[in-house]
Amino acid sequence: MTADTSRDRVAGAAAEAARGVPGVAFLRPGVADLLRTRITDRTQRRAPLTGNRTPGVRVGRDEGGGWRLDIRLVLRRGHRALDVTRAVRTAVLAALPEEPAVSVRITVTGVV
Amino acid sequence: MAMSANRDRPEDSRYEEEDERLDCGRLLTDVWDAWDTGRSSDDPHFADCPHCSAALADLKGLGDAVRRSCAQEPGPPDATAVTARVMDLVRLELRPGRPLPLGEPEEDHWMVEAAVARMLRAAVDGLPGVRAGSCRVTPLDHEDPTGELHVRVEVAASLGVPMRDLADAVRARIAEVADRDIGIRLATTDVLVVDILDPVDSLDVFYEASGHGGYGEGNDGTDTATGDHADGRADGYGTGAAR
Repeated sequence: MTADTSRDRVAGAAAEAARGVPGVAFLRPGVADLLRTRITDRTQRRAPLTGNRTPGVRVGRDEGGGWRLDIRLVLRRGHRALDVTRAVRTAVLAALPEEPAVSVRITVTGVV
Repeated sequence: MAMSANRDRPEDSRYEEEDERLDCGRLLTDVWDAWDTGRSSDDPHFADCPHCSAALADLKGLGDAVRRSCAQEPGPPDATAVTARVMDLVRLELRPGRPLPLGEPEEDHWMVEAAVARMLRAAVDGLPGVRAGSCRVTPLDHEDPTGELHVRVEVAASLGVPMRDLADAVRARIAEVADRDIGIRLATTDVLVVDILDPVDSLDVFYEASGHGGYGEGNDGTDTATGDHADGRADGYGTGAAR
C-alpha cells in the first residue's frame, strides 16, 4: 500500500521534527488512544482501530493532493505557546522539503 | 473517513472524529453520559459489553480514587467540595474544549480552552488575596472562531481589597499572561467576584454559606458542576458544531 507507507513516512518525519522543538513536552495521543490502550489490556484483544502509528500526528490529503498535517502537542511550561507552535511549523516544513504542498495545523492540547 | 476539514471550524471535524467509538459501536461520550445521568443501569448492554464495562470501570475507578485520596486528607478543606473540583478538572481534561486561535487568524495554530484556562487560572492564583474558580475562554464573536477572545473568570477574593482594584489587577494579570506566555488575542475580560476568601473561617463556609451554588453540593461528588460547567459540557465543549 503505497499510500499508507508514504503517509506513515510523512507522519513519522513530522513527529520527529516536532518533538525536537524546544518547548514541546511530547506529542499527545488523543484520549481515545489512551483509553483504547487500557481497554485493549483488559480485553486482551488487539484493537487496531485507527491504524495510526504516530500518536499526535494525523495526516490527510487536501483537495489539491497536498498533505494536510494535524499535529497535537503538549507544551512545556515556561515556553510561550505561540512561539512553540510557530517553531514546530517551521521544523515540520523543513523536514518535508520534497513534499510539494503541506498545510500544518498545530494544536496545543495541554501544558506540563 | 472522508472528513473534509473546514478550516474555520476545526472542532467540527476533529472532535467528532476524536469522540471515540468503542468496538461495540457505542460512542464513548454516550457511555459516559449514560453513567453520569444514571441511565447506565437501564440498558443491559452496558453490563454485558466488555468495552463499555471497561470504559465505565476506568471512569468509576478514577472517581473512587480521587474520593479516597480526598477522604484520607485530614484538615479543613471539605473533601466533597475538593472532590467535586478535581473531578471537574478531570472531566475538562477528558473533554478539552474548543480550540482557541493562537497568533494571527490565518495561522491555523490553536490551543484548547482547557489548557488556556488552566494557565490563566494559575496566573490569577498567583495574585495575593485572590483564588480563581471557573474560567471560560470563548471567541468574542461565535461566528468568527479565529477572532479575538473573551475571558470570563470567577474569583474568590479576600476582604479588604476594593473590588474594582481587585478586578483591575485580575484583568491586567490575565492580559499579561495571555500575551506573554500564550499568544492569544484577548478582546475583553469579565471578572466575577463570586465568593469571599476569609483567612479565619474554614473552607466549609466558603463553599456552603455562599449561597451561590458553589462547587460541589452533591454528597457523592457526582453532582458537581456549577451551572457553567454543566452548560459547557452540554453545548460548549467538544461538539460546538452548531455555532
